[in-house]
Order: sequence, then C-alpha cells, then structure tokens
Amino acid sequence: MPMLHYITSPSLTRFAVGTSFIALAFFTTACDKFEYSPYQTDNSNRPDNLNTKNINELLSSEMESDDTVRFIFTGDSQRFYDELEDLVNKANSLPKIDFLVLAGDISDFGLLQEFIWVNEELEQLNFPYMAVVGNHDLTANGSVIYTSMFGQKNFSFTYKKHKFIFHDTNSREYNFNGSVPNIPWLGAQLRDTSAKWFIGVSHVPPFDFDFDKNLENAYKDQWAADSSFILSLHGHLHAYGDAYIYDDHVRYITTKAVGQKEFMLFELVNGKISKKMIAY
Amino acid sequence: MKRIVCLSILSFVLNDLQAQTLRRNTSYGIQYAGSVGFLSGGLYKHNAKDKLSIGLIYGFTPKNVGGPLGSLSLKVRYNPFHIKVYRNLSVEPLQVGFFLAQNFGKNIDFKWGGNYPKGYYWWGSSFRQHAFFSTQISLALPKGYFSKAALYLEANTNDLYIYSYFSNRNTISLYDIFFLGIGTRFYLREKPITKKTYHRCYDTLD
Repeated sequence: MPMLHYITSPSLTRFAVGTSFIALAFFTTACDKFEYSPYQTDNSNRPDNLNTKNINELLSSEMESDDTVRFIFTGDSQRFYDELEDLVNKANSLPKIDFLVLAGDISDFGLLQEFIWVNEELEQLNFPYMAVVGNHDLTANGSVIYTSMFGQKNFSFTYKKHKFIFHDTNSREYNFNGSVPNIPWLGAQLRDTSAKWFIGVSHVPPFDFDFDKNLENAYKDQWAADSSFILSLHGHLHAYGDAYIYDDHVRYITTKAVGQKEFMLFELVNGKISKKMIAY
Repeated sequence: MKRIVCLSILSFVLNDLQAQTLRRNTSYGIQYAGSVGFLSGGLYKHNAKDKLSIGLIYGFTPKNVGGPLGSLSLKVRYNPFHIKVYRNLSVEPLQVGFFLAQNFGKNIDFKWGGNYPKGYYWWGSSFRQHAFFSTQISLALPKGYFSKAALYLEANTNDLYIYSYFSNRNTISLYDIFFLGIGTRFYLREKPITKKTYHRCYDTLD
C-alpha cells in the first residue's frame, strides 16, 4: 500500500479550514456550551415569557371551591443558588401552595447565565413562580434578558379575586427620569372591576433612596386612596420589615434575601392577610 | 467586521514592509465562540516554538445570536507540550492561559454611570478577566504563505462565574462555569526580504 506522502500546503490549508467549518457546524447545532459572550442576551437554553406561562398555569388550576390564596414570598435570589435549592425543597414540602413570588434581583450581574441558573432551581417547584424585575437585573444586558425571558416589566394577574400588580420601581437604574415607577399604569390597574383586592409587588420600596423621591408621594397616595389596595410587597433591602410606613391603611412588607434562609408564607382570604415566617 | 478587515489589511501591509522582523513568530487566529464573540479574529506573537504567545483579539456577536456585542481582548497562552504524531501532524495536548476582555455594547457601560453613588456596584461593568485551557492539533505546511495551521478547542470561565462558583459549591459545578470556543491559528512562514517585497512595499506607499 503506498504511503501517503507529504500533503501539499494548499490542500492542507483547505483540510484545516474544512475540518474547522464542519466542526463548527456540528457544534453550533449540537452543543449549548459554546458561549459568544457573558453579556449575550440569548442562547439555546434560554426559556421565554416565563411569567406569562406561569400565570397561565396558575389560572388554569384556579378552583371555585377554595377561596384561599396561598403563596410564598421571597426575593433577591442573586448568587444564592445553594440557598435557593434549599428554599425550593422546603417550599415543595408545604401543602397547597398556589405560587411563589420573587421580589426582584433574580441575578447579581445581569448576566444571561445567572438568570438561567436561577430558573433551573425555581423550575423544580411543584407550583408556578413569578418574578418582578430588580435593579441588579437591569445592569448590563439584563433588561433585554429579563424582558425576553420573563416578559413585560409591568404586568398583573387576578387570582381568586386578588389582583397582583408587579411593577418596576428601580428608579435609579433609569437615572430618576420620572417614568419609573409608571404611576398612570399603576392607576389603571386599580380601576379593574373584576378584582376585589389589590396587592403591589415591586423590588425597591418607596421609602428607599433608590426610589424616585419625586414620585414617592404620588405612588403611596395612589395606593392609599384605594381602600381595596391592601398590601405592598418589596425586596431590595435584604431585611424583613412589616409596617404601616405612611399614615394610611397600606401595609408595606419587605422580605429577606434568599441567602438569609427564611421566606414568608402568605394566606389571603377575602382580603384578610395572614403570614408566617418559614426557615429553610 | 470592518475593524477586522482593516486590522488584517494593516497587518498584511506591515508584514510586507518589514518582512523579516515582523513576520517572525507571528500567527493569525479565527475563533468561533469562546466568550469573546460569535466570531473573532486575532494577531498573535509568540516565542520560537510557540510555547508562549500573546495576542490581540477583536470579536463580535451579531444581534440575531444574542448581540450586538463587541470585545477587544489581550490573550496570553502557555503551550508547553508539542508531540509529533505523524510526519507533519502534531498534537499539543494542553494549553493554559488567560485573557482580559473589554466588552462593548449598547447596554454595556464602559464605567458605572453618574446615577450611582461610588461603590454602589462592586464589579467591573464591562471588563472581564477570563482563564482558559485548550487542546490543539497542528499541521506543518511544507510550502506556502503559512508554515503551520492549528485547530484548537478551548474552555474558559470568567471572574464573575468563578465568584458565583465559590459561594455555591452544591449547585454550581466547574462544568457549569466553563464555556467553549473553537478556533484556528495560521502561523506565518518566515521569508527573506526579496526584490518583489520591496516593489510591493513601494506600490503600497503610492
């Protein structure tokens, strides 16, 4: 059998180029480990419209016979993957939970990979979850990633006559431009006649220095003016808090971060709030 | 893309101008993925046996695959083992190194904006430090413009992923934080300065 002699350079170059292109074509379709940039907004692993899908899942399971809304409230999952796994295990051991609310700062650095890692933990829940946008989620390309992966930054749904209004209050990320939070949009949500009670969910509480000071009064006054608005839920502070902050009927509650290993379990029955702290 | 073309043309012109000095120990690289762009191109200088090399790489990621993003990186690679397998085919089983990447993009701020108090976010907004290891096969080319062509597969991670890994030893594995790239390197053949080179040099200057 004749030995293959020294291959000439043009064919070798062609071989090298050819091989690399075949490998490239193979890997692009077969493997999700090829990263274009830590800042990329998309890859083959990224789920889309999680909030919308999860809300649909929740609403399709709604039963007339049970008027109690049971949900877990936590926040700031940023870089707390180990603790998040513990949280999911604990949450799954509790009976009759309808959904989980995550009060923003899903990610720490606004990177796609972080959003994916967090979702990989939370999708293990036996029930749906909804996540509002946090200030860390708006760094780098986080805004684009959140919008694609979770959906609109301001959204709402009504479950057992309780309307949950998720909205963006991360004013500092927009350089306090006067449009965040979106006061007119929030007002419109309150005019919904299909709901009996209203609950606000956002990351930065109105009394924090990252909230637009020029909008603080308009924001809290709008909630206070509506007696069916009963509860305002927030994250950001990495501290538990439960108080009537302003001289009105609205109760403001802030949650610990996922890393602090304690979440809240809420039960709402006809606008009545009861809550329990649960360690994990 | 324009930048890659310009850089390449510039380096080719320079190579003609100072054929012997600049062509020595030089290689060009094209890479797919590897966290510096969907596609990237680089110019490398290395020592005699390519044991140590340093390269300047520009990469871009188009909009439809998660961009638009750009990056400019400086890459240092140590390549200690060269194993000749068969005639002109060699295997270089392991390279290690690092690259420093400045990222560009519409939402990637060069520095944190004035809307934040000092130290509000502690990590760099657009500058990433990566560590990598890779493996490559190379072919010595008997004649032509290039003396050697190499094909490598590389795995890298960055400062923020490493930081995430260390505080989450149960849920985040090393496999989770390393991401791949595949690329080729073409090593320029050293050539003595010929009359033709001088003519081409003058043509370029005209």
